[in-house]
Amino acid sequence: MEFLLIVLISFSGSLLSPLLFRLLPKKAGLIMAAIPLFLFSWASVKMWHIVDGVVFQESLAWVQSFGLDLLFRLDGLSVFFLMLITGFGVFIHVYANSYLENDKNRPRFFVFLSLFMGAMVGLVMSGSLLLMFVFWELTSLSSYLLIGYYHNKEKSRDSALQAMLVTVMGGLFMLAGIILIGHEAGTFRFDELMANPDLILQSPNVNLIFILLAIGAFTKSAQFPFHFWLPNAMEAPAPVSAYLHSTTMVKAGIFLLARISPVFNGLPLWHVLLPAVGGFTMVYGAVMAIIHTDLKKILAYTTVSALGIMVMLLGIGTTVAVQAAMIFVLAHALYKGTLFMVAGNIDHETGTRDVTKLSGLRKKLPYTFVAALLAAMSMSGVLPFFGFVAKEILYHAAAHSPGWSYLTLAATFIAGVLFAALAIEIGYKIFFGKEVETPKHAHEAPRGMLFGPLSAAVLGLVGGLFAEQLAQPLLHHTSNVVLKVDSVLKLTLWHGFTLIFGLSLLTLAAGWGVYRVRHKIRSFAGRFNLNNLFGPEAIYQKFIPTLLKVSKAQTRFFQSGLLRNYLVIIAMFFVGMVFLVVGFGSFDVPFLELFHSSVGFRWHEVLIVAIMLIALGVLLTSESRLTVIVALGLVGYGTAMIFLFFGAPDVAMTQFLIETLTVVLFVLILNKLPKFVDISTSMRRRFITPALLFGLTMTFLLLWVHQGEIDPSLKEYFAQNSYLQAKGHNIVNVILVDFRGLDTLGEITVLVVASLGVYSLLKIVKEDKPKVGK
Amino acid sequence: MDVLLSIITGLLYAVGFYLLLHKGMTKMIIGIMALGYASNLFIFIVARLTRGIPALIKAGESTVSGEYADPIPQALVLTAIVIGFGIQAFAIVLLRQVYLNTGTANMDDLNITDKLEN
Repeated sequence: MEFLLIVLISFSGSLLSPLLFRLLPKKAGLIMAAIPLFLFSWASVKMWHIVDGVVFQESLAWVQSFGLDLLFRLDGLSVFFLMLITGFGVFIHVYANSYLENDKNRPRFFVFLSLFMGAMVGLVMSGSLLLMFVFWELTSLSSYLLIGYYHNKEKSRDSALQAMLVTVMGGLFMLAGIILIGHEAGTFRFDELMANPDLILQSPNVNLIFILLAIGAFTKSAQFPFHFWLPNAMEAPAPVSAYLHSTTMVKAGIFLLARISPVFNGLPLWHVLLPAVGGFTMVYGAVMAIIHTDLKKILAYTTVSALGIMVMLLGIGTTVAVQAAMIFVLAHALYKGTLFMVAGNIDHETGTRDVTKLSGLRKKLPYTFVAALLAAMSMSGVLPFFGFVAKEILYHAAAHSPGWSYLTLAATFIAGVLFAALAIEIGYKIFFGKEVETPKHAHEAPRGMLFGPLSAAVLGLVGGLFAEQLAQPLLHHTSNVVLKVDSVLKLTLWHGFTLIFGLSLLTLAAGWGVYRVRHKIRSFAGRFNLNNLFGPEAIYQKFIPTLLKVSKAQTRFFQSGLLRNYLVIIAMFFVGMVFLVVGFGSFDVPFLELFHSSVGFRWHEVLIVAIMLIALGVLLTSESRLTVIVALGLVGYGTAMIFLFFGAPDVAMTQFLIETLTVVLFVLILNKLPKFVDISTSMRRRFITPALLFGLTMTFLLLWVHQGEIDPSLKEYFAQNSYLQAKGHNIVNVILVDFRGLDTLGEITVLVVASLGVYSLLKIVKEDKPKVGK
Repeated sequence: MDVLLSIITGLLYAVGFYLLLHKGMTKMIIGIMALGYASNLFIFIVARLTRGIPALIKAGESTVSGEYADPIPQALVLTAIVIGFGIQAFAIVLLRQVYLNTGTANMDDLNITDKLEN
């Protein structure tokens, strides 16, 4: 129960938020920060056990028919992500409380935020793919709500919808992959899959499964060509960008890949697809970042790039690469989370996010400046920040990747140089230089908006200085879960003057160079429209209207507004199903023999049928309402006669009675009923075929059923017991009032409801006849 | 005989369905009623026909001896007839009120709620 309780607690803010904001409008966000703080402490306690080699699992039965249990798992990987989510959860709660101080919809924001946090906590703690998928979709949903938080802005709504459609589409692919895994391996549980990777690897569908899962991860982690939703998601408020779109949700794809890595690492496609997509995304994101001037767009594209690095590293899959990926997840979260909050502060206090319009903010926003500077240094990989540690091991991993090591190293270097250039722009250019006028008169952000960025930035420094003591024990276990072997992770700040260190220095120098020429790059890129050049987004923009058009067309086709079309579709579907299931030629007995085995002819019966036929003919051809009603009455009496001949006197009596009543009712209101509306003969002809087909099918069914024997047990049961149990001689009556008495009660209820309906309909006073239709 | 009755049942279905496809309300009501007869006959015939032996237990006896008609479809049909009457009465009054209030008996004019806006 403990783990389920933890997940529930992480959702609890959603319920508490409205109440808390009513009681304490100013401080509610701070109080809610206690929830992630508690979860973080819990995770830290668990971490000490996990470092000792414990893996926690807890299972509660849930939807067993789907193989979906509430199976939670806490190992080195999940505890690392859990701490990341809850730790940043604290920062973001505090930050958002100040950031949205004057927003009257704040309670709603915290409802969404808490919903998201709970989904993330559930996602990383899931012990099976299927459970993880449930939370995965929940993160997409809560992300939609958060991106669209400023719901009165159209752009905001569009971006939210785009993010959700892209990630949910990926989620569907992933679900297909998960179902295939369940089909091939017979289990969704991570522990069982990890214990027997061959269950999947030996399957002929292994590549398909992997691609399906990878598409899920790519959409969530904004890999090319699904990356475009992430920069657009920058419409969200700053705390959302800092939380969802840099530190946590976009890492869900990385988490998924890391989770399935013990199973798939070794599959040839794994080592091709992930490095290719990740590597390309890495370079593409960094290039796109340098040509933008909106601070949040820059950060978004560098995030895309950073996610590419992680995907690439997991794809390389060597021990050092996996370790580098996990270290980079942490380093990136610390500096990028800070920078997003810094961007929020700048936007909030100056009114603009355009880096070309910002400069000299150092004196006006001193604390924000400190946070930005620290984070930027970590981002560019300056000694002694944690970012430096990450960059060193990243270069090391890229240089030692099997196969395309020069290419990966070169690509990583390019991304590193561009990161450094952007870091200089964010950490240095904005804050130094001469002070310029900004749309809002700039002054330092409130304390609540400084706590998060400063803490995260300082952690980036501390993490670097004490890498061996702080980060190493945890990340060591995290990587071991991903690698499934006991590897050694040694994090040291200083490796000596190695080749890699030289490369780091070169990165910084080149970064400075790129920074100097960034204007030229931007004006050069401005000449092409890069967004359209590489345009998966253009496809999306065309696809959605087309989809709507198609759906409208098919709705128009099926929902034409004409009752007869609906009826024909329903009836023809039924006819089709009957022949599909029963088949045409499936008469075991020759058709003519049916006549012999039947009860035989009696002339008076044939006469009744003949009268019915004639009545039907009259009914179809007459234009007089009275004639038609009389003909209908004849058909009804004919049916009653048939009941009478074949041993059902009660039914016949009822039918006679009802028939008489109906005719009386009809005649009573005949003059109030509309005259027949004529339809064209061509239309009439068109109806004949479906009507005949339908009738033929029913006849066919009746004859088809007649071939077989009917199970007589019910018939015999009632015959045996109707006197002995219910003291009645008329079995039919006994069934109605005794054995199936409740049914009869239901029937009476229907009649009462119908008569109430009739009564109230008749009470409707006729108003002015409104014009209807054309 | 059951072959002949099967055919007339199918015919009733066809007529009922054909009338339902019409524009006019009155024809629709008649169509509903014809479908009702058809369905009752269907249930009755599908359980085999036994001529002239109702499912009765003779006085003084406690169970049925010999052949007897299947009582289950009879019970079902009895219920169906009565419920069918309720539905018919309701449909007649409903359509009459629609006609009186909207001034049209043409079903094709009563489909605004099903139209897609452009």
